[in-house]
Amino acid sequence: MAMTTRVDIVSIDRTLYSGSATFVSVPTQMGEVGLTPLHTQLLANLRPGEVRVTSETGEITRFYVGFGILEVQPFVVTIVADWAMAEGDAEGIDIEKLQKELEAEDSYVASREQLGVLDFESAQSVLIEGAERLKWIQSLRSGRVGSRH
Amino acid sequence: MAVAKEIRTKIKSIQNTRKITKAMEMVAASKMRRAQEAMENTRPYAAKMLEVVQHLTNAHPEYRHPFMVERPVKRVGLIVVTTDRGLCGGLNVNLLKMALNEIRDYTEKGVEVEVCAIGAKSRGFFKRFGGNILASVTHLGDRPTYAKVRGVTNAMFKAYDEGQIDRIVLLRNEFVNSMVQRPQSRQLVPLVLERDERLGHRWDYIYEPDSRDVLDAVLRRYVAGLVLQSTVENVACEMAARRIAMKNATDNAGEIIKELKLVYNKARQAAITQEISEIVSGAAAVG
Repeated sequence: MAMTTRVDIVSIDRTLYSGSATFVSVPTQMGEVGLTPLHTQLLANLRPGEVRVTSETGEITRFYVGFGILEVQPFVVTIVADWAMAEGDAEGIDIEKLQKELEAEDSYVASREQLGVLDFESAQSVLIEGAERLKWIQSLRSGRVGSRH
Repeated sequence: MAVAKEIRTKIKSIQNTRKITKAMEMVAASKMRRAQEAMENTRPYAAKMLEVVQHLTNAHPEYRHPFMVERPVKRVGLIVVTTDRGLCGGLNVNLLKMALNEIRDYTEKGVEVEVCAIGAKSRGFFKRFGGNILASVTHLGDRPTYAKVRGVTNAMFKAYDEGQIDRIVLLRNEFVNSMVQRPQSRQLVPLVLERDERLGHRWDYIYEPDSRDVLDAVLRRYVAGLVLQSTVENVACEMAARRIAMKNATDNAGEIIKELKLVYNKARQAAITQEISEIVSGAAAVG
């Protein structure tokens, strides 16, 4: 039996995944990291993107995560995201609607920026998160596995 | 029959009130179930964050984050979480009483207090009371989200970073069960953590991008997560308290209606008796 590591994916309002895996791929601020069991302790900032969990049977489960934290210990991988979504959650989402919402948000941010009354960091993070979410749902629909930013 | 009519109107009005309180009780009961679920769902986030933070204190980070360093306390930031609406028994009153006690204790020690009000009741109270409100947010709804509390927590963090406040304390209601909610005070920043003895060996992480940024993100998220959790828990408390309060109100209305009906029937009976005796004595006079 292959060596496995325990994986927990938790968002602010629920647990999305809790189980074992042979390999996990996680998007972090510095780039995507691939984690196998016995990985050294690591603490990193997540960036919005796709998490892929490979189970013992070789099956790949995909998740979308927003900003958050990744903690790695030799046999534990903990992903704590402010916002996360499983494949099933993406099904009911209307891409065009989401796109429109993002555009509206974009112009709102731009207008606020002109007025000089913008918490730039949080606005930017909201936009990045939204754009990545959209990209992820689109990649799911088109059936490509492992598309990256 | 003027008295009887008055009593009838009164009964009618109390019956209407009872209908309303009964409806509110049922609404609160169903909302409570949902709120309780939401509360359970936010627990893993806080639990995982706590795990990470505990590992951090166990590890040997070369960088000591300001959130982990005690400094002399000149000013305290109190985050007071209440509901937006009333009619929920003593829930808010108990918490605000506790807040007042804390403020008095701090003032006696010569420590100034700044308030961060979450919920309309808290904000209204501190406005009237004359507290120094640093930040406030109201109308979080039945499902508070991270985005909604982020503004106030960031304001508190900023005040802490700038040295405006030296400690952040959270006052909130704890959901013990559907009958009991308890006000609770907890120091958030600097973090109060006990070293977990089970994790005997120590290590340091690889930090990506660097320890300063990551630690900062972890600790801020952890504290903001606790604040969010307390608002979610507060919704469950609110619904539970309202359910009990409305149940009592409904019961009381029932009691009053019973008493009034008795009075009404007595008055009616007395009027009839009087009428009969008038007729009888009238007939006797004629006969």
